[in-house]
Amino acid sequence: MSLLFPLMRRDPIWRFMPFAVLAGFGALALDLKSPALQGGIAGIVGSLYMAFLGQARIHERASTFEAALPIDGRDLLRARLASLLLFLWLPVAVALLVCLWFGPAQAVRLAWPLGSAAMAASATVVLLQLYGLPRIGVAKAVALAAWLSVLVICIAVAFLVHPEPGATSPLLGLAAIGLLIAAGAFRAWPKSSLALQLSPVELQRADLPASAATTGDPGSWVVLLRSLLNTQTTVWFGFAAFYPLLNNFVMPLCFVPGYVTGAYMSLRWMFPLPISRRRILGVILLPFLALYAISAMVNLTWGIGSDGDQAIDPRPAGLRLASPWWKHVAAGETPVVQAPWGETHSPQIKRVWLVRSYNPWETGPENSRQFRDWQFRRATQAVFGQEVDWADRARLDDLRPLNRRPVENILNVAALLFLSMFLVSFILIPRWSRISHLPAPVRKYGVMALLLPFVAALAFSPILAEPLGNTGILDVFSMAWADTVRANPVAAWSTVLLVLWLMYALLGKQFSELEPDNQPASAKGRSPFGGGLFS
Amino acid sequence: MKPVLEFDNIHRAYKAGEDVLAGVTFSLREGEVLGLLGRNGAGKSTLIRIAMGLIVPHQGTVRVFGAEPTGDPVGVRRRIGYVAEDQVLPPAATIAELIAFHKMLFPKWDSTIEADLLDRFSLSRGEKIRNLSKGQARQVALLCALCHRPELLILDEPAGGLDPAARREFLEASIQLLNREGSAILFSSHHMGDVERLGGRIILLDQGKVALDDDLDNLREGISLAFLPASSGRQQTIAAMPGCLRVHEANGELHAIFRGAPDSVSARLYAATGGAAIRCGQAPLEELFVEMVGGRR
Amino acid sequence: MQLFINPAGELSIYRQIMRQITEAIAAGRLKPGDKLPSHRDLAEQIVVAPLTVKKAYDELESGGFIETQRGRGTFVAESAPRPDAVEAPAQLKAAARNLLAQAYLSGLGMREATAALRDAEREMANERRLREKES
Repeated sequence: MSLLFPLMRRDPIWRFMPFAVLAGFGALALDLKSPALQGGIAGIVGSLYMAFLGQARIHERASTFEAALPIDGRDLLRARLASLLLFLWLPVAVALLVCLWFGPAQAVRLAWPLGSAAMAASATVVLLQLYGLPRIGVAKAVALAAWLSVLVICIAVAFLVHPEPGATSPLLGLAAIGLLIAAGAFRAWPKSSLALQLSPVELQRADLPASAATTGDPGSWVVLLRSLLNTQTTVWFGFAAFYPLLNNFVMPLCFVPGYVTGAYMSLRWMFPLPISRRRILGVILLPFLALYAISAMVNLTWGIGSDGDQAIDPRPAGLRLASPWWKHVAAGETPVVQAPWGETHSPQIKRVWLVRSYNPWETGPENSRQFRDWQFRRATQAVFGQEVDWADRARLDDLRPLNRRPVENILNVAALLFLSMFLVSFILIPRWSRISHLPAPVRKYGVMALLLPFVAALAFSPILAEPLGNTGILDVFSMAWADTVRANPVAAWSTVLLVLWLMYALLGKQFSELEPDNQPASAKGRSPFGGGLFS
Repeated sequence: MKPVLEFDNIHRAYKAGEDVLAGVTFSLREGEVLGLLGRNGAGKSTLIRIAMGLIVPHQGTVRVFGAEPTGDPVGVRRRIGYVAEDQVLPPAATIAELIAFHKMLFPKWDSTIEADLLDRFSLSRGEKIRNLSKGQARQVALLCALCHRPELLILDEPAGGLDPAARREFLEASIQLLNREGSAILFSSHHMGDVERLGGRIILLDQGKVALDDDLDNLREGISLAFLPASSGRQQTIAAMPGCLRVHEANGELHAIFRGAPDSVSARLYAATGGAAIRCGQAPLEELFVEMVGGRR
Repeated sequence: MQLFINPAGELSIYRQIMRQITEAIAAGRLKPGDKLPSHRDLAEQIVVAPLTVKKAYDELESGGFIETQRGRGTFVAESAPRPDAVEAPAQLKAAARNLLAQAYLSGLGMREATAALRDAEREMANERRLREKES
C-alpha cells in the first residue's frame, strides 16, 4: 500500500495533465460566458476525457517494466485506478475552485455538469478496467459480478442524484444489491488469482484461439481495412458520424487529431512499402472526412436538430437573436439605433473577453410598438432576406435563414473539412522532416504555441456571445466568405473545391515528408502509449 | 558498374547539435554485400532509414538506383526488400492477407518463392500476425521482402532477438537470394558470425563517421592487433605511427590496431618503442569490433 | 563432403574452406577427378556467401588443387598441387608454433612433438591405404 503514491506518480496518464487542465479551463471559460450552454459543457468535457482516455490505453494497468518488478499486481491495479480517477477529477476541482473565486453561485451552477461528466468518465474507467479482468485470468464469474455491480451502482447513483418521482425506493434497493455484489466480489478478488501481476504481458498475448486457415485468396485491400479499423479508430468514426447529427458540428474537429494519430500508428507499417504516402493519407483521411461531411450535410439540409428556425425568436418584450447576426462595437463606443422618426434605443453590449457585440435590432421597454415593428421588419430582411410583419411572425417557422441556404451549407461543410485538414496538418508538424533539424522541444512545444492563437481566436470570437448555438462556429466561417461567392452557386462550388483541393494537396505534400519515428524505437524504449503523437 | 546505393557526406541529428551521422560517404555496387557494423546508437538504423527514404538527411545526398529515395519513393521501394528489427506488421491481418497486399504492390512477386519460404519457415497462411512469435513475425517480414526478388535487400538488424536456428534460416534465405538474383545486400548486425557468413564488404560506423571500410577478408588478414605494456608517452608515439587505426589503454596495457601483417607490425612497433614486449596477431571480427569501438562510451 | 565452418575461428572463412578441401585431398577423402559441388551449391550448403566460396575455389584453382571445366563443373586436379612458395612455409611455421605451444603446455618437449608428427604421418598414410583398398 505504501507503494501506491510512487506508483501513481509514475503513471503515464499525468503526461496528459496539461491538456486536461486546459480543457477544464476552456470548459470553464465557455460556461462562465454563455450560461445558455449549461448541459453542453458536460458533453464537451466528457468528450475531451474520452479523447484522452482513448490515447491512454487505460485497459493496460501497468507497463511491462513495472510488471517485471517485485510489486504486487493488486498494487499496480490500485495505483492505476487511483491515478485515472484523480486525473479525471482534478480538472473539475480546478474549475470549481476558480469558480469559487467568481462567487459560490457560479460554482454550484457548474458543479452539476462538470461533476456528471467526470462521474460518467470515472464509471467508464472502472468498467473498462474490470472488463479486462477475465483476460488476465481472474475467474470470469468474479469479474462479471464486479462489472455488473459497478454498472448497477452507477445507474442507481445517477437516478438518485436526478430523482424521478416515486422511483427512489426501488432504486435504493437496487443500489444496495449492487453494493452487496460489489462487496462479495471485492472479498473474492485477492483469493481468485495472482494473475493480476501478469496483466500487461498477458494482455499483449491474449490467448485467442488460432483462426481457421483461410484457403481463398483474400482481397489485397483487406489487410488495409483490418489495420485501419481497430477499436480505437472505429470509435472515432462513430463520433464523426454521430456528433453532427446531434447538432454539434464542432466536436468531430476535436477528435480529428486523436483519430489521425491512431490511424497513423496503425498504418505506419506501410511506410517502407512501395505505396505512396498520399495514398496512405487518402486511406486515413478521406473516409473520415466523407462521413463527417455527409453527417453534417444531412443535418444542415434536413435539419434533424437544426436550430436554424430560431435565428429570430420573437417575444413580446422584443426579439432574441442567434449569434451570427450580432454586430461588433469598438471599446468606448455606444451603439445607438435611430428610427426614421427619431426614436432611439441603445442596445445592451455583451462582452466576451475582449469582444463587444450587440443586437442591432434590440428594443427596450421604453420603445414604442411602432419601433418594435420597424426593428422586426429590418431584422427579418437581414436574416431571411425578406421583410415580415410582426403580425405575420408565425410565418418565420417556414422561412430559411440566409445562413442556412444550400449554398451556405456547402460553404459551411467545406469550412469544417478545411479546418479538419488544417488541424491534421498541425498535429503532424512535429514529425515533419523539414523541421527535423530543430531541437526537439521546439518541435514539440512550438506546435502547441502555434496552436494557441488559433484556440484563442476561437475562444475570443463573437460566437461565444450569447445565445450560443452549437452551430455558431459554422456561421463565423461562412460569414467570412465574400458575398459574391455566396450569391453564386457556381462560384461557391468552385471556390470550395479549389480551397479544399489546395489544402488536401498541401497536406499530402506534408504527409509524404513525414518521418515515421523521430528516433529508432530501440533507442527510445517502448512508450506505454505505443508511441502516439503526444508521446 | 552503376552504384545501387550512394551516400554522400550524410549528416543527421535527432537532437540539435548532436549529430548521429556526421559526414558518411560510401556507395554500394550492384550485387555487393555490405555489412554495417557499429555500436548501438552509432547511426546504422538512421543510415538505413535514410536509404529507405523514411527520414531525410540534414546535409548531403543519398541516391538509390540513381534517384533520391524521397523523390520517387514508390518506384525506388518497389525494387527494395526491407526487414528491420523494429518493423511493425499489421497485427490484425493474417499472413495470407499481408501477402495478398504485397502481391498487389510488387509486380515482380514470385509465388514459387513464396510457397517455398512459407514451407521452409512452416508458416500457415491463415495465422494472424498478432499470434505469431517474434521469430515467425520476422520470417513473415523476410518473406515479404524476398518474394519480389528485390535488386537491393536492406536488413536492419534482422536477426536481433532471434534464436540461433531462426538466425540461420534467415541467413540461408538471404544466401539463396544472393545465389539466385545476385542482389545487393545492405545489412546491419551485431552477430559477427552472421556478418562473417554473409561476407563481402564491412563498414564500421563510429562517432558518426566511417571508421573502417574494407573487404571482410582484408580486415581479417590485413589488420593486426598488438598488446604492449603501457608507459608514459608511448600511446602518443604509437598513435602517430602510420597505419595505426586506434590505440587505447586497458588494464595497464596498450591495445593498438594496425593495418598490416602481424610480423611487420610487431617489427615496426619493436623499433618504435625501443624494444617493448609485444604480442601481435590477427583478430577475429568480434575482437576487432571491440578493440575499434569498445570502451569509448 | 561436409565442411565445417566456424565464423569465430582464427582463419577467415574462405581460408577455412580452402584448408578443409586441401586436407580432404591430402587425406584422400577427395581423389583426383572427383567433382566438387558448384560454389553456389556449396554456399547454400554451408550457409556462407557465394562470393566467399568462389574466392576459395579461385585460390584453390590458382594453387592447382582443383580445376574448372567449362560447362561441366569443378574437379579435383589430376596432377599433384604445386606448393605455394610464399604462403605455404609461413602457414606451416604458424602451425608448427601451435604444435610446440601445445607440447610445452603439456610439459613435453621438441622430441615428443617430432614423435607426434611421425605418428600423425603414419596414421594418414594408413588411412590413405585403407581408402585405396576400399575402392
